[in-house]
Amino acid sequence: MLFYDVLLQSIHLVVTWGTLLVSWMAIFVKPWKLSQKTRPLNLSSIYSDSKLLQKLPIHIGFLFLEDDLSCTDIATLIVWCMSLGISYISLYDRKGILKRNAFLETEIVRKQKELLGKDATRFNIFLHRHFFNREKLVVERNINQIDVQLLSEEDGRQSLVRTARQFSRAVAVKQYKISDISPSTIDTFLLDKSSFPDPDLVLRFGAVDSLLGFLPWQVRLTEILSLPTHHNIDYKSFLRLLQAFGDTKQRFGK
Amino acid sequence: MSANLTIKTFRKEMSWVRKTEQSWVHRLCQQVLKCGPVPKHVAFIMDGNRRFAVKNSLERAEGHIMGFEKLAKALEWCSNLGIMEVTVYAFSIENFKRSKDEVDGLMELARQKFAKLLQEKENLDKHGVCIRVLGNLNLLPHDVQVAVANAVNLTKHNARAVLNVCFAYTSRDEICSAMRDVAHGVEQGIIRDR
Repeated sequence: MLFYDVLLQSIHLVVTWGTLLVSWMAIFVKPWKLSQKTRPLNLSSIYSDSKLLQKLPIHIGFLFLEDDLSCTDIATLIVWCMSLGISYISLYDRKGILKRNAFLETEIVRKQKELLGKDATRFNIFLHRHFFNREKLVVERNINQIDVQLLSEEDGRQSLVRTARQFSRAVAVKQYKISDISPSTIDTFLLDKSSFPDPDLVLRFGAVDSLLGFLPWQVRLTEILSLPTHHNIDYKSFLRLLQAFGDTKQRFGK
Repeated sequence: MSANLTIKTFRKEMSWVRKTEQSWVHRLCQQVLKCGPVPKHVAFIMDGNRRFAVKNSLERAEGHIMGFEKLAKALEWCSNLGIMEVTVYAFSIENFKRSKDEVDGLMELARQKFAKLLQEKENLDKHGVCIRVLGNLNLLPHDVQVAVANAVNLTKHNARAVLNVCFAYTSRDEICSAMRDVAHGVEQGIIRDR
């Protein structure tokens, strides 16, 4: 019986290492394959790529679920999104490291100049670091206005706790009835606070198969796609995911 | 063909708890998997019943019945692997948007399955299966609510394995229910607002 147990353990070990190897290859082999010469990126080339997509997300979320964050790559992603015509962007890391990062803004400006050249100044980027109590977004939007919100775990469940608290107080002072608390009143309340529409697409970077607390209320109908890492993110992989997003069909329960 | 007629053709073996014969390959894989960590709680989203029915030239209702069959098998696999809690997303509030025939058919399936549960009390107690039903049950037909209540009551003392059936749910509805409960608690002075 002991020999049989050892045999089972060995098979388990082999399978575990085999699966690990395959997933490592996905991270390291891919960059080699894509190192062929690609055509130069600029505003007009990226914009023409956007015209070929079936649909473009209105609000895209990037979940950085890795230990190391690369400002350069994050800034690159933002510049690509702006050029494609995506005007709402969420950047999420669980602990809020991005919120406290002083270099993100300068890195975004640098990447804009590098990738867009003379077109760099056409976009107005607004960075929002707080979920509740943020300044209202400009009502009259134009296509060159980009809103970026930096989020962390506290903006997810904790926002819902704060919402529950506000509603409870309103009920206690007879301003509201309990039956007034409905999914639509809660939604209106949260929308009023953040002014961002619900994300239609979320890209997850990292090995964890979870959203790790990202806006639980708002991701009701969100398409979730992943990439192993955001480090040295390449344009083709990003575009491929947007194409996959364009191919999705939603039945909404019907 | 009405939904009720098709459902009545279900076979005798469609019980919730079963013990089927396993091939040696199946048993070996199971034993290998049990050498390492196994999740304590697995959730299943039941999708594809209608596509399965179309592919196999069956009625939609038959597709849902086969879906239940597969679920029961999956429960057996979980139990054998040592996964002690299983959650099943059976019917979303959004699914009420489907045709009356299909919704009626699904309610009839639920009615029959929960009624069958009551007949399997001995088996369920032997395996220690506790069944919970989560969702906005007020949205279900009254007799289905009664069948659900009976099933939950029957198995509430079991503690070895838990099956959570999500029935008439959406995540927002659940969050909203929780907020209402909290507001009610504050209103009644049970929860203090600081």
